[in-house]
Amino acid sequence: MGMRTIFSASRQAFYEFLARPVWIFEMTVSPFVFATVALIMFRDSPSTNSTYIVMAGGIMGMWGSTLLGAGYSVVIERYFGTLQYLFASPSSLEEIIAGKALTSAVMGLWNLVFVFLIAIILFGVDIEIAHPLTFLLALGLCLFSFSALGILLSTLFVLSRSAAALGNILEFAAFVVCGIMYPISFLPVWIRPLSYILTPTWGAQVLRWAVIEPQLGEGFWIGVAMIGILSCSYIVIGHYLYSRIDYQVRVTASLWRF
Amino acid sequence: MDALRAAYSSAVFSYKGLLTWIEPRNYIGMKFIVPLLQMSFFAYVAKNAGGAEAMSFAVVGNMVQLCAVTSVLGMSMAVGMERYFGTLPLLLVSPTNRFALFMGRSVVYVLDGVTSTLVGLAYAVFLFGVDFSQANPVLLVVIFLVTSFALSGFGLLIGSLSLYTREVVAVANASYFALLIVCGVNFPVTELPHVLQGLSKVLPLTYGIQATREVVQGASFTDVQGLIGAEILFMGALLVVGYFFFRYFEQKAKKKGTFELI
Amino acid sequence: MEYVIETKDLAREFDSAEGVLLKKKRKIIAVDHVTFGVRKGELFGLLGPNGAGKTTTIKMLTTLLVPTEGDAYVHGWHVVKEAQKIRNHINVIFGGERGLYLRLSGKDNLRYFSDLYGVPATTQKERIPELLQLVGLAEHGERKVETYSRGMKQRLHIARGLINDPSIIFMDEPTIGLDPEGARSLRAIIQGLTSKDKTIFLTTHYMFEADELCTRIALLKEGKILKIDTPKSFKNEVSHVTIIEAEGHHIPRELIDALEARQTVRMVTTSQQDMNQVLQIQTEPSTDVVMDILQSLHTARLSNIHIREPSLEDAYIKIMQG
Ligand SMILES: Nc1ncnc2c1ncn2[C@@H]1O[C@H](COP(=O)(O)OP(=O)(O)OP(=O)(O)O)[C@@H](O)[C@H]1O
Ligand SMILES: [Mg+2]
Repeated sequence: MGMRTIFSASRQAFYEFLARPVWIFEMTVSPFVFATVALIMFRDSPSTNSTYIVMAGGIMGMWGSTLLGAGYSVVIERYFGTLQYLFASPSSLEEIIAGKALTSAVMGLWNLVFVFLIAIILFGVDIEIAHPLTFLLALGLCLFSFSALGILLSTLFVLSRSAAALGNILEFAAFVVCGIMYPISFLPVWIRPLSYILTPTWGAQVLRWAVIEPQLGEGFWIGVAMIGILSCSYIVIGHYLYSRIDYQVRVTASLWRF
Repeated sequence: MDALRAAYSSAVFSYKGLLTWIEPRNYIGMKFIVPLLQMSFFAYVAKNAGGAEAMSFAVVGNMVQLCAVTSVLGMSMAVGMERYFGTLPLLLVSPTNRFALFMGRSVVYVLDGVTSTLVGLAYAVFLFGVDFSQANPVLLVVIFLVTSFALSGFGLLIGSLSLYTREVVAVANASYFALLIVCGVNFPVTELPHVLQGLSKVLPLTYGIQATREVVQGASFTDVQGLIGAEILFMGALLVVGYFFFRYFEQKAKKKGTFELI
Repeated sequence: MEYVIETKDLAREFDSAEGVLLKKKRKIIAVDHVTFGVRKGELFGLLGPNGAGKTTTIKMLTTLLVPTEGDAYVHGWHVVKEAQKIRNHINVIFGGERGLYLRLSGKDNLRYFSDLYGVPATTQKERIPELLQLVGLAEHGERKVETYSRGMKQRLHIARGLINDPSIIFMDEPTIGLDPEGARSLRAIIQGLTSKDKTIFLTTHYMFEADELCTRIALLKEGKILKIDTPKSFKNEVSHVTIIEAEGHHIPRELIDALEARQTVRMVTTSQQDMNQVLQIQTEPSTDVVMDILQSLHTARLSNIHIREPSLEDAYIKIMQG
């Protein structure tokens, strides 16, 4: 099965998006707010690059969307009683989630577009991207790495029934810890290791280079390498966890609890 | 009197409901972790944009706005959850005054909202070093109470939508976030476009935050009574609007038969 | 003949936590060391009161729950160690209307699940319309499931349960909450499946349904199997009695006592039905005795007096109470 499950789960997620038009609204609220707040706050700080601020708002939205599709959707499936049927099928839950994560990460691109539009129309920001092609590649890398992280974190949603609150926490936590809109050096020292093992941190770094810097330097390549290494680790760890979960869930009967 | 009794039993019940719907560990997350994350995020963004002063500004603003977690999100979800649990139709065929019923519930949410702000206050003092030495603590608590009450009126208004639409969670979330822009939480309202400045003037939270900022700087009751008065005034207006919304959407929902859809 | 479903001392416990803040742990034994086998092509019924452990048994057999003790095999594969192999060949339907993607169409629901079961695209093209036809939803395939009635959703579940052409189908109360006509048409569908050489494992609370459908029945109570047999031999259990029923507004206590005092009467029960009380007497099937009882019921001015042969339900009640 493999690819086929991933594909059809991602198509399914897409249909579900279409069937519920309010997602557009739902998903764009927080990136819109974050970008707006940040744009107003940074208005008087000339050293800051507005394009980067706008983009940061957008990728925060992408992360939110990925988490919604990979993690929170498990809560919803549990609630509607479909999770048990997914589980009873020969397809692995991991692949199903992977498909959903991909779709929702891609749908999250809409956040980016939306935030850019708002910035241009409402705030008259001049969008300047130093390396457009690199930017697009970096964006693709971000999508991949967000999905990988989404798969890893989705294990929590499968195992825990208090996952509803978890969704909010994980979404916000990444915003805070990954220093998307401020340097990580602001954070308490003991949190920083966590920042370094989360791909959004590096995704933000890579995108910052692509948007701002005239020359792509070492920092960019370190970022790319870190995203690659970390994403692969997420997938491997996620795979291991899912192989355990398949058994664990049947021991604890958590498929039916919420 | 009956309305009062309905309100009371509904308050007790909603407290239990709050705890079973949100499990203790979930509740801890909503109470301590989400507020910390929100406050940190905006504090650091502010620090990046405008240094230490901007950071204190954002920290105080978020501290007050945090009571909206319970009073706006919680309150509107309280109505929304009825729909998810399939008890909405049962509730609406009962002869009690439904607005009173939900008002009764709001007591719990108001108090819970104030504790959120107090948690935020602890973070402000211990993590972000905001100086509260000039502030009159009693006055602060009074402002928090009024603000939380006003916000639950706002929550009720939004919750009333859930009689009619199933997408109330989306609306509630959006309103919660909108408060972060409009009410002078992270930057002074004067930075807003004119249209939004107008909106900020009718939202009670704006006055609550402004009053808090002044009290933190040592203002006395007489200094802020105007602000508190304005907040209460607009809160009253919200409740009236909320009441009519409630009636209106109830009628509309009955016509459309949308109680059961989830 | 060999068994396609087989359990050996199968048991499952649950921890249940009570209380909101201070949690007390308590063990619930849901299934208590049951051993049985189901043959190929059988329509096997699992009956028992609420909480007897029927759903838990089905969940273990369908690889959704791990037994705490004992073993179970489906098609000879172990439900824990070889779960993946089993999943390809079985399907499960939990009664009720939950478990569908409400905002999508019936067809989309089926398409998704057939993908998850690895049904080739060409097969899907034929099978999905066929299944919709089978469950009488051919005209409603494109409609969103949230607009379906409860019965339609349950029939869609049947179609979903057949999507991988399973050789064994597990159904947990498939007709729950359906109107008599809907339940009947669903029973006809289920009956039709056995002619296609499928094995069906069914739970239900409706005795006539079990009687009509099942080739064999297991009675479960508090996690233990009380009896496994054909519906016919179940009824034999009570064949040596005749049942007399009558209705009245207030059936006098003395009448009941007097009936119970008779040597020939096995059991007297009363139950409330609408405005009336219903009296049920199980007695020896001798004509004299029956006439005598009828006479006393008549004297007590009870109405709707009638005599009937014992049903599966009577056997069920007898075994449950005995
Ligand atoms: N996830 C769970 N956690 C704790 N206890 C459970 C769980 N699932 C079932 N039980 C308990 O196990 C026992 C058997 O439940 P089960 O659902 O198997 O009964 P059933 O025979 O299907 O009943 P019904 O006819 O009501 O459907 C019950 O006491 C139930 O409370
Ligand atoms: Mg059951």
